[in-house]
Amino acid sequence: MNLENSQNNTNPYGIPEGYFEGFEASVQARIAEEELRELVTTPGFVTPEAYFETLAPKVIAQLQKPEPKVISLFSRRSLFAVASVAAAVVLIVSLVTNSGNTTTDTLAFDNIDTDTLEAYVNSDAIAFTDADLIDFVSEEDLESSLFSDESLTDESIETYLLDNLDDIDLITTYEE
Amino acid sequence: MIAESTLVSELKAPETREAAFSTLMKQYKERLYWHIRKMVYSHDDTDDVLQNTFIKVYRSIDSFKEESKLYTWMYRIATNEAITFLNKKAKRMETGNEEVQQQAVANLAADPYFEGNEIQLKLQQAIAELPQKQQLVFNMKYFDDMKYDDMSQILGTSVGALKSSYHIAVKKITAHLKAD
Repeated sequence: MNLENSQNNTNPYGIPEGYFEGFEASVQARIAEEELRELVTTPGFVTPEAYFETLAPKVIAQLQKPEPKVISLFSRRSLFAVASVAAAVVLIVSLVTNSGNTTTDTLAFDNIDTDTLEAYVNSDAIAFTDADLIDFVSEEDLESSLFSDESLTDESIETYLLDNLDDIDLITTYEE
Repeated sequence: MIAESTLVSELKAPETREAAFSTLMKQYKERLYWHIRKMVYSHDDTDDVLQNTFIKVYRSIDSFKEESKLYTWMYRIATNEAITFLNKKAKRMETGNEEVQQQAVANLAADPYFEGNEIQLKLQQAIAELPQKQQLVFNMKYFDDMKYDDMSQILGTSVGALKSSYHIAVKKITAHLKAD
């Protein structure tokens, strides 16, 4: 029996693709790993005594605190005002491109929900200056949206600042 | 140990949720703690990240689709929480993640909860010099002996790429320790 031919033509076993290409690297890594294990096997960290027994009550206490609420800066009325500029552009483009068609679809603010308007504004599709925002957000909106009876915890404020502020001076001032 | 599928069902049912959550913490707190600790180094920071991880698990359990194991899903949350923590710390210190980790390692010698010897300290220094993905792969394989398939689910990386990362990490660390 010709063993070589037998192996080439009838070998029923398969191997993962690229197995032999990575074989030497695997062996070298295993040798390096064994050398390393002779030197060190644990990271060397410890915990305070009885730490794991005290963890669960701390987590449960955190869960019992109410979740911070997200308060929308803009009222529906303000969003309508802001989005009206964009809607006007859409309307004009629509009229121009569909001037030859006899479509009966109508574009109305009442058909647009607040989430859609908010997403549109947040998508940076329209550029606002600070002055524009001051014009659109009235004092009344600020009173009713931001300074209602909702209470913000120090932790929520700190988290918001860390996530959203790039001005490190403000963060430092807050921490002090 | 309670079966994972039973635990998930109990976590999703409001009447059994609290008891099941206590069981969940009991079963996984140590494994997740050590996973996070090896990323953020300090005990106090690990405690914060671990608590956040469990809170996120509790509040997101209804969105867990059981397409992966509960254990790998929790590890993924813990990994993301630890990375978010490091990013925030780096932002606060106006520096990068690498510097934050190297600073944390530099503090280990004076840390009352680090009892490593000189070699263990050098090992932590060598790990902190690796890119973040290699650090994760090295810690999960070398210390936790985690299967590559599980690591693949947690880190969203192919098994082949994880093996390569591990081999490279081991070689770099061995070279680092031999160099000193």
